[in-house]
Amino acid sequence: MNLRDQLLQASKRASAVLADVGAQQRVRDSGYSRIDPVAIAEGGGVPVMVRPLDKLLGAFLNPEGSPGILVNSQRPIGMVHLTCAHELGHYFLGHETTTDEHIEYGEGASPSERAANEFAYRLLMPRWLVVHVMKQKGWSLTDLPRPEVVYQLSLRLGVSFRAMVWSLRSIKFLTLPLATQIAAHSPKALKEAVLPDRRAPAEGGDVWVLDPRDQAFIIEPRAADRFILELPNHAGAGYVWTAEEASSAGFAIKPVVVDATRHDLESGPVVVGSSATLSYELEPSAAATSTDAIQPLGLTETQPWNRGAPRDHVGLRAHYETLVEGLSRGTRQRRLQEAR
Amino acid sequence: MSTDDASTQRLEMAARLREAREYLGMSQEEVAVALELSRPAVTNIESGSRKVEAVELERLARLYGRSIEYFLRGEQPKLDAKVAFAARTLHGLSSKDLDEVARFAEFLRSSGSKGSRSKK
Repeated sequence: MNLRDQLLQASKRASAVLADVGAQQRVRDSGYSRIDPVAIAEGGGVPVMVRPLDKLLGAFLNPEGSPGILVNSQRPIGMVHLTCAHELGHYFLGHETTTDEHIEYGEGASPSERAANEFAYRLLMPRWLVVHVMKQKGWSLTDLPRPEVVYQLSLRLGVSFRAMVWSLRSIKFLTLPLATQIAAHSPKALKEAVLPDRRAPAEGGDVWVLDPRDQAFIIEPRAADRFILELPNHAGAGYVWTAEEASSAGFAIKPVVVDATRHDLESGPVVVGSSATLSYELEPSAAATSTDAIQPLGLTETQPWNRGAPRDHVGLRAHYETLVEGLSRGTRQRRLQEAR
Repeated sequence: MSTDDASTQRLEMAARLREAREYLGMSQEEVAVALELSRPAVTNIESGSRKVEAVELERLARLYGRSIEYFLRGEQPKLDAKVAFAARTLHGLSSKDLDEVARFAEFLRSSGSKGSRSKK
């Protein structure tokens, strides 16, 4: 089989796997916007092991017909997902044991590596999912040349910034020159640009810019991540946004002091004093970041002196990703159950 | 075997049992529930302050995907399989990464989902 056919087969296999697990339905019904390659592996009876490794991103092992996937916990989460999907590609495409120091393979790479790469891209970033997230966020193709939009898109799909760029290129949402230009931006600089203190989170943490459109999603952050909330501004009429006590126990919000920080990325004119949105920083409690459940965050826009009905309400949902070393949760639970 | 030897062996076995559980990311509580032991029993087994019955050791070994001999005497799986595996697929990995890959391969080999099910 030639390379072209192998890549096509990998792409079709990824689509078939997504259909088998009902991914499209899950995204539509639940609000989760990520494909979870670990859950797909577990569902197929393939154990996943998460370990701190030196140089390896991951490995697909198949000793004596007992397949398993090893991934490096010491990499940013988008990379962990991509690696797991890549190794899953080796599994579904019937490849031999293989260890991967890289998963983004250029044209010189072996056909099996390129096929596994193609599988990973199609599994985590299928065209329908990209379209779905863009639609919910109100982004159109004309927004994609903005690297900060591509970065926010990558967070909702749970992949690295660069993989997102090249995936948008491969589904022809970006031209090659644009993709090349966007890929040259550093994710760290994109994170710093939106934070009031200009300090990117430690440990490769991400920065989510959330607005009322994110009510469509259950976002899946990690403990080190930070959040900027952009909410409609009616401060002129005395309205302020506050967290509802009953439905946002795990979070605190505080206004971001307005200076020029929010505007230097945007090309439009800066309207001083009457901007349409106000920025808040959302701060999760330590308990919130270690809870493995959907956590609500309710915000209301009220006039502090007026006890009447709020002007507006925003309800966000977060489900923290808690990647712990050892067997993946599903693998571990299955094993414990079988020991009974 | 003197009492000293016996207690050394028990302590070593206890350390291996703890390490094997931690490798898999299982809590003492989870292991206790799965094997119908009390939580303190697992804690005490792993500190060497409680003797391990043969049946218990067998079940622990199966859960952790390692041999009984390994826990008793620290005997590693045959090296030739490991070396052959390494020679076939690995090139220039750090020794830590090589160990991790070999260890997970051994785990899969000895306890692959097929193996643990057919034993029942």
